[in-house]
Amino acid sequence: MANSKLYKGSLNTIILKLLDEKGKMYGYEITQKVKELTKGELTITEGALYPALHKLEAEGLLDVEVAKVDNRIRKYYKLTEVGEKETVNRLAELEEFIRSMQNLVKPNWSIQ
Amino acid sequence: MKIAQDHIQELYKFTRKHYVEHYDLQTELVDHLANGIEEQWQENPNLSFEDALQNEFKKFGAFGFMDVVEEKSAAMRKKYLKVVLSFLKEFVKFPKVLLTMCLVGLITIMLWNIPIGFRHGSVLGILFAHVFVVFYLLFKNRSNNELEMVRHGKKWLLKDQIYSYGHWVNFLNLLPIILNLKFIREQISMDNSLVLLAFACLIVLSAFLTVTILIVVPSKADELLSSTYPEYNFTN
Repeated sequence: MANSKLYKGSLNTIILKLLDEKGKMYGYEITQKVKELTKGELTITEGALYPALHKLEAEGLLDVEVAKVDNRIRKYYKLTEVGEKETVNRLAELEEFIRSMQNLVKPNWSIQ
Repeated sequence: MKIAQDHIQELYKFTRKHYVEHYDLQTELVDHLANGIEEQWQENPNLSFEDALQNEFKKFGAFGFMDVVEEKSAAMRKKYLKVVLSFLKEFVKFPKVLLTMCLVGLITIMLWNIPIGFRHGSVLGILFAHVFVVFYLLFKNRSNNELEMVRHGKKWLLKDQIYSYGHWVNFLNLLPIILNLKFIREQISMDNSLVLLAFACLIVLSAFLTVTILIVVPSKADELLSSTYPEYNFTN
């Protein structure tokens, strides 16, 4: 997608949703997973991903775990209990937003 | 092709060169860059390490690691503040709340017994003396704390916050100065017992903050650091 501003506000929700599905993930894995799921349409830039992860961690929504992989230390992120609840809220908010946008762009749109 | 140990050291150096001075953040970025480089090698095994690294670094944008560093520092400041507040809350819980109430009461009575004309000056005197004590402790412990920050050759963001006392002295310093501003001084009527109570609360609160920041939190540093950074114990 050319205009990354369109999904910037949803970055945190995308991260939470992915962690909810996968359990625990590390930064690079998240960028790759998003690319894979959206077939390259959306790319999370590194400069945006880590600040978002650190912010979510500071808010107490994410917890960290480290493991030695190959010859380096890898930091994994996973949802805390608060994070799990927040994911449900934020997904509902996002769905609501998408519905409103759809009404704005195509007022007569329906699934049929 | 997998990345070699030498390259990992190169990557740590690279992050340091690009203004990431804390080990906690360096480690995360090193793993990210290493993953990216390994993936490039899968597609093009002949690519040199340097070229692959540059390709990966470009993805962070024009400002490099700067956004990441800024946001991480902000997140750590927030975390530090939460830690301080959690210790501070102890002073309003039983049994320590009794001590808090006694102190507030005692200072209020003391201020009440001072002639009105000297009350404001006394409050300022207490606050200035407090600032002086904090400055003294700060300078006395400075070299120790600086050594502590880089113990084992690694810097950690939260450790820096703990041993620079969260820059508490900068805030504390402002208190008596603001209270001494003429238009503020004229607004405060020192013959009102509620005003005296408020000043007593302010004095006690700032003293508790000093105790928490200068004594309690540093004494729990190792515990806090290993719970924040799971890697803290096995890299030190």
